[in-house]
Amino acid sequence: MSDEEKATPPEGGEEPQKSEKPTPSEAAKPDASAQKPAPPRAAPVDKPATPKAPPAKKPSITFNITADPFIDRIKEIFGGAITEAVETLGQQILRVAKDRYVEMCRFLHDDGDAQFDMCTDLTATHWPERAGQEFEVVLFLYSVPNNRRIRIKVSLADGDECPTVSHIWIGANWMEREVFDMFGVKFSGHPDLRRILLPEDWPGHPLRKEYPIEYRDNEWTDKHIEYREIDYDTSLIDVKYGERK
Amino acid sequence: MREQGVDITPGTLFDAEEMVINMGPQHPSTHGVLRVILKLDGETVKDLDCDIGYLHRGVEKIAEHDTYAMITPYWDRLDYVAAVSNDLCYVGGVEKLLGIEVPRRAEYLRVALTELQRIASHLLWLGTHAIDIGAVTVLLYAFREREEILKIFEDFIGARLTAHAFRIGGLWWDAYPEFEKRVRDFLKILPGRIDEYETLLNANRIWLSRTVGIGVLPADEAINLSLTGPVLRGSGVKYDLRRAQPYSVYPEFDFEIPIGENGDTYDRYLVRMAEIRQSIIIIEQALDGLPEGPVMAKVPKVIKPPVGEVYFGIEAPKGEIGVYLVSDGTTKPYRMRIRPPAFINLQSLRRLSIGHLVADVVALIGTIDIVLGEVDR
Repeated sequence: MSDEEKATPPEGGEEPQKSEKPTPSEAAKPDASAQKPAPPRAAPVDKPATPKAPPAKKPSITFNITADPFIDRIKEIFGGAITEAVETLGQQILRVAKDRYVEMCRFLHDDGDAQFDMCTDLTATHWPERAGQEFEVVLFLYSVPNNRRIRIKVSLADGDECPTVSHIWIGANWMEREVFDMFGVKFSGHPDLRRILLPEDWPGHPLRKEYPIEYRDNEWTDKHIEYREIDYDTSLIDVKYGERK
Repeated sequence: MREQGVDITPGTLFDAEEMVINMGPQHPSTHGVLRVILKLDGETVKDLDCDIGYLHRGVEKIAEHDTYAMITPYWDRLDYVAAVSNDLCYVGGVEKLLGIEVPRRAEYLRVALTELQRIASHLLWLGTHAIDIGAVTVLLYAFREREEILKIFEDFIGARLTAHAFRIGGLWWDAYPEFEKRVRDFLKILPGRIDEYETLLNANRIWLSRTVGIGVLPADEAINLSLTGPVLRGSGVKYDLRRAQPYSVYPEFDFEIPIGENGDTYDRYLVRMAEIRQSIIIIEQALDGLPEGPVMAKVPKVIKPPVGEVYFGIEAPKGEIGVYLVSDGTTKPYRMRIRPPAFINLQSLRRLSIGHLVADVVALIGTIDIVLGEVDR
């Protein structure tokens, strides 16, 4: 426990911000607070998978974004589709509804102020405890002209298809294939959705939480690796201890 | 053949309009186990598909079951010719999540080691890329200098290749007494040696005809393909994380970002050679300004980051390597995503190769600079 206390001081500086921030943000943006049933003080994104009581000593590192004209503009355009706009360690995260995800990506790519012309990364996280929102596709965008990063999140239920963005950023093609390979999340409209790292007929998707770490598929191995009986002279190895042939 | 009036009807012996051939996974120019399926029309590449995953070890899955400190050695084995750079990415990500401030001496040593690693990685790239194209001599020279760097690493870190160089919070060991002198001695001879390589290649007619105009990539397409590193800078985009989103103590150093003009294989070669020269400048500055003091911050014995997530990317020799850590407040990460530069850059091979000859595919795999340990993870 003393270790935890040691870890606290670095974040201690952000403690006063946390207690102050929610009130102005609620007052400034009534539309945003109306979207959120939960008070915006805590970070609803990063709840631990097991809903145990969070340690009270550690202050949250996630805050709502306030007074960012660009984020405010996106909120204005997409309104209720932006269900969350938070900042953690100086990195901005937007959560968008699935049905307006592609539209928003297109906007972020084409808009003169945004110009997010590079898709740095695309990945997913699996949260089996969140009913109806088991998967989260995370898109990391970077704008070369503005030198700015933003992270877009889409929540999906298990079995839902996520719309592809590989027609906006060609670079997302393989990243989406990898997410499909590792999580089984299908991307509708993807031009070439095949497994990329694992064999085509591999059973299961390894980065799902239910996939065990020490899993070895013997059926697959039996099918693809040929075992051959080897004829060898057993007389040479059937030697009793101390005996010499 | 059609133009010469030869009647080729389907089913005849000479109907060989399109042929599908395999390159790899044991092909020496694929630098590991990359299988490229080529659709050819004569010698011209019509289409191409990369078959990867032969080295897949599931590092991201393993990370979910290991504590934060236990994961670091796995990062050495991603891009195993630039292990030090990988370590900097991972420990930097965890430090950012924990809010640890690394001592300045450790940061300076980190920069010196990372830039030495960049030189080593580029030298290995230069040697193998040249030998793929047919210039065997360069490999011997480049490995001679790389060996010096590996010896410096061996004495500092204890390993030559999979150097577990950094720990969360700093360095495990301080620099050994002769470290500074050895690095300076090496840096003194290196510029002359780079001139030697350039004498061998820059005006070499075979080298020029194999690289100039091969795999031209315009800047906007390179950005759209998510390329990073020298491949992107070769196309004229001045994107280097050391300047764009500075980390460690890079803002304190004075250096330039070399960029290419035409975006072809030759420009990407020039960019990497210029980067070696810039790395020399950075290491000299890091050694000149090396502060005294501790090399390890106060890090809790049990690393338990707060609930949250972080993305941290650095400029590795291959491009932007990044880590996305999702913490649920326990001692193990809930999810760790590696942003692999070689994997994402390899995606552009199809775009680069179509329309070129089979022999150019070898040059293009070389110019992307892939390491399959990182592509497959």
